[in-house]
Amino acid sequence: MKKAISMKKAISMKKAINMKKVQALKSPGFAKSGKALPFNLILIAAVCLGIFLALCVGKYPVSFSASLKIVFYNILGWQGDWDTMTENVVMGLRLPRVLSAVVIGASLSISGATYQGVFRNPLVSPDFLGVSAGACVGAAIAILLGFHSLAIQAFALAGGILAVALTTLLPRLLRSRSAIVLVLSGVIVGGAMGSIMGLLKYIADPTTQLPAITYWQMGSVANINFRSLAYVLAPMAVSMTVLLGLAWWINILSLGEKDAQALGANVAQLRGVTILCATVLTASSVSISGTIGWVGLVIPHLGRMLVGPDNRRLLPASALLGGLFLLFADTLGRTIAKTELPLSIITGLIGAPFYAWLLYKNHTRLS
Amino acid sequence: MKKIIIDLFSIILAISLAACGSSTSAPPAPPAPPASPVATEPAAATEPAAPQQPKAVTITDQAGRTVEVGDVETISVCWYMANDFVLAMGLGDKLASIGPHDDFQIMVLPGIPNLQTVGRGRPDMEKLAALNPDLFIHTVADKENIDAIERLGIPMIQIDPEDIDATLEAYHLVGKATGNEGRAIMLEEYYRNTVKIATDRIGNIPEDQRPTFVLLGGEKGKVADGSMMQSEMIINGGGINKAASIAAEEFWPEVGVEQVFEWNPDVIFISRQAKYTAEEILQDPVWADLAAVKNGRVYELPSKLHNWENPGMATCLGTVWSMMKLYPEQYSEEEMDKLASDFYKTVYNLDIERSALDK
Repeated sequence: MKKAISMKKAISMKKAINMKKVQALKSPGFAKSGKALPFNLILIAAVCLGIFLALCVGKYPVSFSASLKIVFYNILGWQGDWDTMTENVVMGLRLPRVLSAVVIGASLSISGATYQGVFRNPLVSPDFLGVSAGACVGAAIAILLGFHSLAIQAFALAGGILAVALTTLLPRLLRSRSAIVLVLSGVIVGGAMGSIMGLLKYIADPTTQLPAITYWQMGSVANINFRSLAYVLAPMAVSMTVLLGLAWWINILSLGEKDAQALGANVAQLRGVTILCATVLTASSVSISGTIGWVGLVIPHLGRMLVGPDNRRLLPASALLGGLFLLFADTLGRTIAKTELPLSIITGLIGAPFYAWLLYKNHTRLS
Repeated sequence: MKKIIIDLFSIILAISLAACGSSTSAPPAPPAPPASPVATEPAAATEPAAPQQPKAVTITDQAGRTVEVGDVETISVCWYMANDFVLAMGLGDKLASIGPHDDFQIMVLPGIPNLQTVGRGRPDMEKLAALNPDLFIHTVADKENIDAIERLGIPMIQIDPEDIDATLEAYHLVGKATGNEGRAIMLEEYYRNTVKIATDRIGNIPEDQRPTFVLLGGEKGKVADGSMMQSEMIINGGGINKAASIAAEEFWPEVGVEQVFEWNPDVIFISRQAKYTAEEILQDPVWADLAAVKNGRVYELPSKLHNWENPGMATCLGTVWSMMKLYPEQYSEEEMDKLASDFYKTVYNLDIERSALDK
C-alpha cells in the first residue's frame, strides 16, 4: 500500500518534471538553431573531405593527386588521359564502397537516434526490435536456397521488416500499448530469430553455405556495387526525410506517453510511423552490408553530447557523424593490413571504449 | 522396444565408461613407427573376405595419436570430408553412419539416406557410443571431443587433408586401419599419374613464362593463399598464384578487389563457394580492363555435382583441368572428358559423363 502511494508520488513528481521539460521545449531558447547550423555545415564539409580522402587511398597504386584529378574530372564531366583501369579502380571500386559506408553509417545512426528518442532509452540500438536478426534469417534462407547477391539482399530486407512486424504484432494481440511490452516483444522475436539462425547454420553446407552466412553476419561494405546501393537508396531517402521532418514530434514522444498525449500527439500513430521509418532504414542498410554493430548505439550518444537532446538537431548531426565514423572504420579496415579487417571488429574496437568514455563523461557531469 | 533397451544399455555403458574414464585411460603408449605410405603387406589387400585372425594394427594418425584398431566391420563418420575418404576407399558398405552429405555421395552409395547420423561435424557422444563402430574416422580440427571418444573405447583415426601429400597419407591410414592398403596404394598411384599428365605437358615451360592466376573465394575480394590445397592444385597445373605470399591464418583471406586489380592475373579462377558467377565478372564494366577479363579467361572451378577443389581424390582432376584452362593448346576438352569418366569409374565405380557433372 505504502509502495503504491510512493509510486504515485514518484509518478506525479516525474510528471511535474516532464511538464517543466515541455515548457522548456516550447521556450524559444530550445529551438534556437543558430548554433546547430554551422556545426552541421562543418560536419558536411568533414564528410565531403572524408569521401575525397578515402577515394585517394587503397591497394591499387594510384597517386593521391591522380585520384583527386580523376574525381574532379569526373565531377566536371571532363575526359582525362589516364588509363581506364585506374579510373575504374577509383570510380568503380572505391566510390561505391565509400558512398555505401557513408550512407549506411548515416542510416544506422539516424535510426538509432530515433529509436532511442521514441523509447526514451539510451541503451536501445537500431536492431532491438529484431530487425537485424530478421535480416540475418532472411539472408541465410536465400543463401541456403542458393540464390545470388540481389536475391539475398531482397530476402534480408524482407526478413528484417517481417521480424519488426512480428514484434509490433505481439503487443497488439495483448491489447497493450506500453513501450515496455514492445521492447519485451522485441527480445522475444530477436531470440527466436537467433535460434532459427542457429538452426539454419546447422543445416547449411559446412564448406560453401556456412562460410557465406558467417561472412554475411560479420558485416562488410567491401562488395557493394552501385546497383545494390541504388535499390535501397530510395526507401532510405524517403525514411530519412520523414524522420527529419518528424524530429519535433519525436521530441514530444520522448517526453513519455502520457505527456505526449496531453500535448495532442497521436502517440500510437506517431510511434508507428517513426518505428516504420527507422526500421526501413536499418533493414535497407543491413540488407546490403550485413550486420554492423555499435554505430547505431554509440553515434547518437556522441551527437547528443555535441548538439544536445533536441532531435531536430540531433538527427542530422547523428546522420553525418555516423557516415563519417563508418567511412573512417572501413577505410582503416581496407588499408591497414594485407588482408581486410572485418568492419564489425573495427566499429567494436572503437565503439566500445568510446561508449565507456561517454558514460564516464556523463556520469561526472551528473554527479 | 528391443532397440530402446539396447540404446539405454549403451547409454548407461557410455556413462559408466565416461565416469571411470580418468582411471582407465591408458598411460601414454610407446611411440609407434611413423605410418609409412609404403605398403608392408600388399598380400592382405588382395585377399578380400578371407576369414582372418582378429589381429590389431597399431597406427599413428595425423594428429600424432597412436591407435590400436582391430577387425573393422563397421566404420562411422560424422564429417562431410570423411564421407568422401571412405567412399573413395571403396568402403561404403562398411559405413554405419554418415556425415552431412551431398547428391554426389548418394549417387556413389544410394543407401546413404538410410544411414544413421552421429552428429554433424562433431560427434554426438551418446549416439556414437550406441553405434559402437569398429572404427571412427574424424578430423584433426576437433580437439574438444577426443578424450571423450577415447574413453568410449572406440578406435578413432584423425585425418588432416591440408595438402596433397597429407591427403594421400590419409588414404593410407584408412587403408592400414581397414586392411585395405592395396586400395590406398592404387589411389595414390592413380593420383600421382593423373597429376603427371599435367606436369608432363608443362614440364619444360620455365617459371617466368607460366601464366599467373588468382583463385577467388566466396566473395570477389577473397583469395586462396599459398597455404591452401586449392592453390597447390592449380600450381601443379602450371599456374603462378599471385596470392601465394599472403600468409593468412584463416582460409580464404580477404585482400579486397582492389588488390586483385593490382595483381592483374592472366587467369581468374572462381571457387565453388562463390555467390557470383564468371559471367558476372566478364560483364562487369569495372572489371573490363583486367587482362583475364579482356581475354575471357575467367573460369568457375568444376563441378556442380562433385567439387574438384575439396581435399580428396578429385583434386587430381582439378589439376589437369586447370592445366587445360591455363594452357588450352596443351590439352583438349575431349581428353578431359575421357579422363573424368575414367576417374569416376576407377575411384567411385561410377559410370558418369563429365557433362552430367554440371547439370
